[in-house]
Amino acid sequence: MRKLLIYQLIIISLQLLSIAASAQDVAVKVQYPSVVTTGQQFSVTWSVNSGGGEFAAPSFSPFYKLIGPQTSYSSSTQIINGRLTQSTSYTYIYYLQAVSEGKFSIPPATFTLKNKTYLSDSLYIEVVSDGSRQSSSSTNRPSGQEVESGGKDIFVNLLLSRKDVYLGEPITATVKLYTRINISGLNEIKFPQFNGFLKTDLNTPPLTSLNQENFNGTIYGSGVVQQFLLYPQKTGEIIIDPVQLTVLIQQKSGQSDPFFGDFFSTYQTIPRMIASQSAKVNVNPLPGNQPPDYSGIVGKLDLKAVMNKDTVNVNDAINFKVIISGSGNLKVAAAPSLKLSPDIEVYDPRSTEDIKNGINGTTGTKSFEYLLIPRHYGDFTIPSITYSYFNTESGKYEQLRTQEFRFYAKKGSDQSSDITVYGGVSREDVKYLGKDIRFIKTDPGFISVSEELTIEKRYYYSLFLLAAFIFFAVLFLRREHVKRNADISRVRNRKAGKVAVKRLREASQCLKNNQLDRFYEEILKALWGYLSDKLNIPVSDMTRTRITSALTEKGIDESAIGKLNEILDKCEYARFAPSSSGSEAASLYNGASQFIKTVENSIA
Amino acid sequence: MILIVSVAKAQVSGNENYSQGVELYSAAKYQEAADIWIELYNKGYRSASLNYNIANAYFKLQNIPAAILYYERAYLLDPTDEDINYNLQIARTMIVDRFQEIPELFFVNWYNQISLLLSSNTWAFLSIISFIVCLVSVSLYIYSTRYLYKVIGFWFAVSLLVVSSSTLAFSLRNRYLVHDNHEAIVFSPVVSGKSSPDASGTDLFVLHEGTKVAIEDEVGEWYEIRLSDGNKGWIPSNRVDRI
Repeated sequence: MRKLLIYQLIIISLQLLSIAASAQDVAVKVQYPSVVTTGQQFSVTWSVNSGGGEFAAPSFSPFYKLIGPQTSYSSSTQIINGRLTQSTSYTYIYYLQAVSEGKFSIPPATFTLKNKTYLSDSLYIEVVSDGSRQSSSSTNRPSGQEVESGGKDIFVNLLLSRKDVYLGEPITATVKLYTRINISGLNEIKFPQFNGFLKTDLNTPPLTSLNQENFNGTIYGSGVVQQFLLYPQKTGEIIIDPVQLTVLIQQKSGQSDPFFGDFFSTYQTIPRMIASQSAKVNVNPLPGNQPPDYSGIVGKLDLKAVMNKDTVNVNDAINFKVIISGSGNLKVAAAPSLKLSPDIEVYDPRSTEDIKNGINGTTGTKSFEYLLIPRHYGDFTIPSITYSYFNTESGKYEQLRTQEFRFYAKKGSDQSSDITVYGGVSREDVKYLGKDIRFIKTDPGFISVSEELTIEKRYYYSLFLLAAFIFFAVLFLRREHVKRNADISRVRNRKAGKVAVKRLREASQCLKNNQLDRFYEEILKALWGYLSDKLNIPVSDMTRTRITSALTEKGIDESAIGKLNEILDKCEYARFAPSSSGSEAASLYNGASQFIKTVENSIA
Repeated sequence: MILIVSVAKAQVSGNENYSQGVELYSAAKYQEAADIWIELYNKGYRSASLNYNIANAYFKLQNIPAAILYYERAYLLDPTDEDINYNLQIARTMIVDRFQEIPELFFVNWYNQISLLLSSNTWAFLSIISFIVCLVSVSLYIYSTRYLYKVIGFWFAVSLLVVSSSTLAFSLRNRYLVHDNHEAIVFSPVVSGKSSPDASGTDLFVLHEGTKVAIEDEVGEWYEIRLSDGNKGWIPSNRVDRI
């Protein structure tokens, strides 16, 4: 039965090989089981995709060669859509038997064609003892063995690459099927939820063939059902639930034919559910002293930065690229922070990933592309970027650092400045950085010993009273004064005598100085003025007749009036005939003063 | 003459100590600078700059209530100074208590602002001068024979009477604000306001250092205070310092 399977596999592989041989490169391939039991017969098949050469098999010691070589030839011609493909294949099959336990290697076979030698791979075969099986019983096994449904005939394992990891460190989980009985397929595979992990499915080729594998001293056909990459997301002990799957087992039904053995017996497919053990993973937390620029990546990283040019026009863009490469969960890698001058405008970086998930974790590169636009001219510096990650090998945080970049932003060309608004210095708000009290005053200002408050003093208010008192006193005195001055004519009347006396005095002065002209004038003025004031007659209205009547009214005697007229006549005459003597003038003076005295006495 | 000389001497020594303090402050020796200026203050020297500098030194020493006290004192002497107002605002942001202040009526605010522009004595001097000029204008009105002079004299007298009475009011207000010490700053880290002036009174509210309160009444060792939000209570008088 096993042989049949192997034959089938060989045929399938030959067909595959013959298609591959169309490349016309000579290739020598070998197929063999990697694990056998002592006494087991097995075949080693070399296939060459070219004929005409000479094939030489290596020595097979310490294996015992049973038969070989069996040579076969196959060729195929295909025309697909008018394209012709031809392939040929020569196979050389040797049947060997293992004799002793141990690991052995067989040197490569050689194939010589036109003086060129092609080598196959070396063979590495492990031979184990198998007490439960009889070495020579492969052809006539007890027929009931296949139906034996003992627990160890078929089982599934959940294999983890590591069981003690740091948070975020990748684990490869492999679901592997081991079987010693014929199966026709898998059904209803139920993978665990992987709670507490970030799960990524790895590309696993579909299970078409089983490999021989030694498991605890027993040879099983084994195959990988599915592989996963797990990133632990929480710390502590995490238990992974078992994998459950249903296997379709081929079970013989009915009797075996006595002539043809098993070949014509009928088979029945029975579903059987198997489950793996649950697995335990211990996830250690990362050390507490996280650097501030920690990116969240666990693994091994490399950091590189590139700038596309070092001179640029103002308002033109510069490309600044930060490339992070290495192993670790690069998908979660955060963009490194740039500490740039506020005069550089930065846009959110564009990130590109080239990430491969393999059985050793995630590897690849992630790059962040920044667009920097300087808004002012001048020298600018992009400070070195730091990026920290947790190195699982050393168990420490490690900081990566790029170099410092410098670039120069030129003032825009004349053309571009024409386009911008005239006087185009762009204005912006002042940036405030901190807050503090203002500095002390160095100038003492008006420093004074504290004074007493005048507002609280009684003398202050008495000042108001004093001012008011003075005001009212002045007011009162003035009022009295005004009362007395109320009648202007009376004043003039009262003063008339004084004024006349003053004039007469001046006249006598003139007489002494022999200024007779002025003397007469003064006398006249004195008399006219006196009479005007005394009689309350405006000077313009003064006539001789008016004066005479007014004086008579006041009760002045005729003689006095006659004397006045005489004096007036004399004066007027004397003014135009200045021959009169000084004695005459003196008598005139006396007469005038006499008249004034008389009037003064008669009129109050 | 002797009096003038002695005043001038005092002024000189005050200025010297003042600039000494400025040097110490510039060298970040805030405690020493504060000591020198406080000594000046205790000798009776008064100026807005002196109070402002003392407050700055206390601010640097993290003594916020004292800083606020002296900023308030400086503010009363020069309410228009921008630096004083700015630093007072900053110091106020560092105290614990925050009140929904009842804003004063705008004309009360103006009244206070104007009355703080000049010292009480200057206002008093202006008042008496304008009163005298007012009386002179009245005389002009009474005695002038020309109509124009009469009109001028009348309106002068009326306006000067208004000026005189208002400057007198400003003088009184200035005395009330600056010299009457009706406001105080809480110096104790925590003090509770009681419903009556004794320790057994019911606790009404809790104040923290740096808060400004108005003193309404005084009974023994207790002040009745009014908070900016209008609430009243009694606190021990040694927990606050009058502005």
